[in-house]
Amino acid sequence: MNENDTHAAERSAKKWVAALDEGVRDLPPATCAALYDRRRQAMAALSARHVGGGTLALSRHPGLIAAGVLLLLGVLVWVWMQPGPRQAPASLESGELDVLLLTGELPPQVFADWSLVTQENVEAVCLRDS
Amino acid sequence: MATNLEIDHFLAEVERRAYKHALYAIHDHHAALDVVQNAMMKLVESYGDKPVQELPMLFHRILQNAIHDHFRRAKVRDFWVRLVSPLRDKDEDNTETLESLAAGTEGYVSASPEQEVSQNQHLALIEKALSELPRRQREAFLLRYWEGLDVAETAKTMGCSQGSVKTHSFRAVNALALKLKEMGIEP
Repeated sequence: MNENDTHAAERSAKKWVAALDEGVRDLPPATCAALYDRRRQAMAALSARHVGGGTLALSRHPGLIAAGVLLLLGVLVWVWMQPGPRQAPASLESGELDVLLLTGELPPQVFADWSLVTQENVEAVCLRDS
Repeated sequence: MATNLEIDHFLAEVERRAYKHALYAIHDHHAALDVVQNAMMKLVESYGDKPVQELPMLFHRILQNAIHDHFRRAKVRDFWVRLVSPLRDKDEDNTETLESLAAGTEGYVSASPEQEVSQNQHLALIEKALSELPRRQREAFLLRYWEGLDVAETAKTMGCSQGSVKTHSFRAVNALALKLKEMGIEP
């Protein structure tokens, strides 16, 4: 295609495009109204998007949501695996423990950490007493 | 970022031509309106935060994709319809095709005989010739000459090379000139 062809083509194209523009201006009113309605719906969707922007923005990034859920699960698992406040060993009767504490056989720290009350030291105390 | 008002103005400016783009491709008034609406919704939902200068190219890309999607859906629908009704009468198919063709050309002809002035006839012939062009040629012609996109923008919108855009546009103009000459209109 040479330059003359291109210029001739563009001249013809401009002429036809001018006719198409005329046609667009003379669209039937019903079609214009239908297009107007559709534009209004699109703009309403845009306004709604701006109102709920945060939620919509988040919903457009499923990876972010998945990462958040995984992080939350990780934290829950970590918390669950942490040693919590221990219960007094079931083998001890409540009175026995008080006696051991009062006599100084067990340190007062056992109130904070029941793991100090091991089966061995309790058994040793009980054997000695008996 | 484009404001709501700028997007509204842009859509108001482009909606009629977009409808015509869809109509030339689909040949169905209601389907063309739906395609334009889908393109508008997609633009505001996905690209409402883009600068206003980028909107024309984005919108036309979305519109072209919406038109292609329409054909894809129609193809799938036809496949299932044919599969479900294998005993469908061939004559019935032919009738529907003729009806749809007749309906498709309604948009190109003046609504009433009183309006059949020479300008309208001229326009109807141009539109008919345009709608008969191969899809890629029609897209290239409309985007380059009607929408005023440059070659690079048209290539981006059509998803092809700039060389292809030049070839498609040139062929489109030649084909249009030939068709219009056959219809008695000198280019």
